[in-house]
Amino acid sequence: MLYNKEQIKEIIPYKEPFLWVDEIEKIEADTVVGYKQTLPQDDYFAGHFVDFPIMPGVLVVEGIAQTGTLLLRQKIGENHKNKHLLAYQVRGAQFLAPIMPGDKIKYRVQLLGFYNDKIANFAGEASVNGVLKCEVRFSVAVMDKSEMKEKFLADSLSSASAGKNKFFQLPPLSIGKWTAKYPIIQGGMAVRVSLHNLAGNVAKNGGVGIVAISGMMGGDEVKSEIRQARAIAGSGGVIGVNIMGVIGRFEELLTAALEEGVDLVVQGAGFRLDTFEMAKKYQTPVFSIASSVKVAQKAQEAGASAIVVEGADAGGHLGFPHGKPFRKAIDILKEIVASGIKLPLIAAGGVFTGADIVEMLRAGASGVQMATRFVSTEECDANIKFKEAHINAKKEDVVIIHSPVGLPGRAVRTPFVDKVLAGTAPKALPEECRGCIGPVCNKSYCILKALEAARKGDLDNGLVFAGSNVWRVNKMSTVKEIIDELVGEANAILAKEPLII
Amino acid sequence: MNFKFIKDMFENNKLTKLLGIKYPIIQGGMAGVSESTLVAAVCNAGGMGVIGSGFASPQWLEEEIKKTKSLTDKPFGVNLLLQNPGATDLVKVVIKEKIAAVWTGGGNPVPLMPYLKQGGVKIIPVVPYARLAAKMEQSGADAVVVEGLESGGHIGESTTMCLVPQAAAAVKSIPVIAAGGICDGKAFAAALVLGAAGVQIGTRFLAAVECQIHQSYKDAVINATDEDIAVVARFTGHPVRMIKNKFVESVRKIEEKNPFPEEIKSERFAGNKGGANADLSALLCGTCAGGIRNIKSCREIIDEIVNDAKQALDSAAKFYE
Repeated sequence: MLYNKEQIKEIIPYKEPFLWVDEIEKIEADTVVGYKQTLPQDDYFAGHFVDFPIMPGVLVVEGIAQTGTLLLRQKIGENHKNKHLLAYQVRGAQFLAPIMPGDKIKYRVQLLGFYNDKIANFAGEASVNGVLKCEVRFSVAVMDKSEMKEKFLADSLSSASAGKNKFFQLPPLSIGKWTAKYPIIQGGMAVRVSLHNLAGNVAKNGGVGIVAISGMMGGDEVKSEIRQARAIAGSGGVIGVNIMGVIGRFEELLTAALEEGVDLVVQGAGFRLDTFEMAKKYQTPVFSIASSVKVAQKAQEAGASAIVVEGADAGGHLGFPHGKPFRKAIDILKEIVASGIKLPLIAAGGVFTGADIVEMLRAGASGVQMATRFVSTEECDANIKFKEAHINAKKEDVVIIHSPVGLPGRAVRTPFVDKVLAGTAPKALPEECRGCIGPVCNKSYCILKALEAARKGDLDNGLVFAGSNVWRVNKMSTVKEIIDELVGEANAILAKEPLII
Repeated sequence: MNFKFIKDMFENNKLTKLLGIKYPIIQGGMAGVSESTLVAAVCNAGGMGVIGSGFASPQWLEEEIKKTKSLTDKPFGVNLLLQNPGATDLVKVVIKEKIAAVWTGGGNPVPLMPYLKQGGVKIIPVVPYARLAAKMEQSGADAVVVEGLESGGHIGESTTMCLVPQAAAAVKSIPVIAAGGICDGKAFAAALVLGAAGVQIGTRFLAAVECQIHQSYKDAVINATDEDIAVVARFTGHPVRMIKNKFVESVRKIEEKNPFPEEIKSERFAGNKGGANADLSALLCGTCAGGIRNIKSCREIIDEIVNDAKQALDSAAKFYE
């Protein structure tokens, strides 16, 4: 044997379930000989045909062609990695006898000619135990990957873009009555990490600023923060609030925010139907945070205006209860798009660069929510020590802890976090409990106290939440610098390859 | 032999004058077939023999020229296949041996013309279109052969009947030689009527005593009817006319599979002398084979063609009586 399956996969860009050659016996001059062992349980036999399982002819041709491209890639040499090999012509295909489940197919493929390094003509055959089953001729077009992109991507874009808009720059985010210049929402960070200064400055620089109101003392504090944020943002700035569903003073705090006229409410950590009833009175759009298609569907039915699709790379509480696998935002996003949900989708969790933003938009998001990037800014409302914990965090410092809320949470290691991980964190004291999250709290430690301590800079007793990419943060910035950087990166990509919506 | 006819017809003929021959009858250069014996016999019978050099080497050509010279003192020609990568070496041999005229095929002869002219060799390109006949004249050709698709071997797309008058009208003064489907006096006469100064004949000379192909090949020619002639290898872009046999059937089977041109080696269609088993090789042959029923000497063949042409023209004149 010249190459086994794994070695074949190193040469030709195929893998299961669309690899149709699993052994190369030899290459002699312009001829290659390979094999494919079929198995009765291979799924194509189940459907072709229902009452007479034989290998589909097109797959036999595919196997012959894949074997041929291996030979061609070797002829091209090392540079072949920069080339796409594409089916150009198939002719003179004859299927002389069926291939049965369990047959070992022998491919013999001859390279007839390779012209101008562009077109290769082949003749190939498939046989089983010396009996000829199929013969076929085909041409393969060899194209530089870069040329391919220029030539065909432009074409496919123009045909796919009929009736659609082409964006060579980041598109704005418009929901209901407001429009943010950039589709970047600053994620709400409780307790009191994203207040008026951060939210106001994000809004001022074209993003959507979010004041996290969970854990606040009362309606007055909520209103005051929103007012101050608006003052910084100026007219046209978009300001919203984030509120957890599980908090005890939910109605009071949300009502205050709605009365103050916020542009949106982002609601997560406990899906609450009353959010929608309350927001409806003020015609305020509600963005529901969802980490699954199921929750997204529930939110759509309940009347959400948008869905924040949050994956497992987010910081703080993660919507993946014990036993549920952590999932990437992009995967959940694609699933939600495929499920037919029509609401605007905001991707969250691990979005770090302009390229990440573009990736999410191309996958169907209308915007992104980013929190961790905005912690290491002068404007962030947390203590400098909280910010330094982000800036200094190394990859190994990013850990998952159990929150008393009953969900996992991602944090940066601090002396307190180490205690939580060791199970030695001080239990919540009954006399100190404000019932902030009501009966869902398992009281393993007081999370409100730990978050408050962290945001005030007491890392010995503090819990510093952060996203999985926090170790990539290594300097203090300003909100303007961060947004300029993100927009610059994204626009550079879109200038080359526009976004089609 | 009607000498008055010959005098009237051929004394002032542009082609006989150009080449210094008795009759304006050229034996078509057939690669792998026409060599010294045949060429000399045609020359000695009053026509002009042409050595078919095909993909041959300069050594082979030089030897054949020497042999031909030993067999005849008449002028003779050499056909050069311009696809032969060594064609320029053959040109050197032709010039060195002071050959009277060169026929060219399978490529553009214009780049070779200055050398041949300087060497005193006349240039007679074989072309498939009237437009090319005019172009060859402008480029300095001394005469031009227009070959219709009736011919054997590699063929073009126009017929002799259409090609000859169009070419005769397209050229200014050089002789036009008709080729393709001409094997007897009637066709010779017709070609002259169509405006040709002479004819080039290949297939009829396959069935000449002096032709060196295998007897089985000659038998296949004289036994063939008009239905027995086929064109194969159209898929290669270079169709070839030959006698139907097992070889043709095998090619047909491949053709049914819609193959790539590379799947058949063009050498398999090259002219050759054939072997004891006439089924094994490509027996290149024109459509006129159906009208060839016997093997004769070159002298008999040429005399018959000339006499029959006279009779044919005489019969035609009777329409006016």
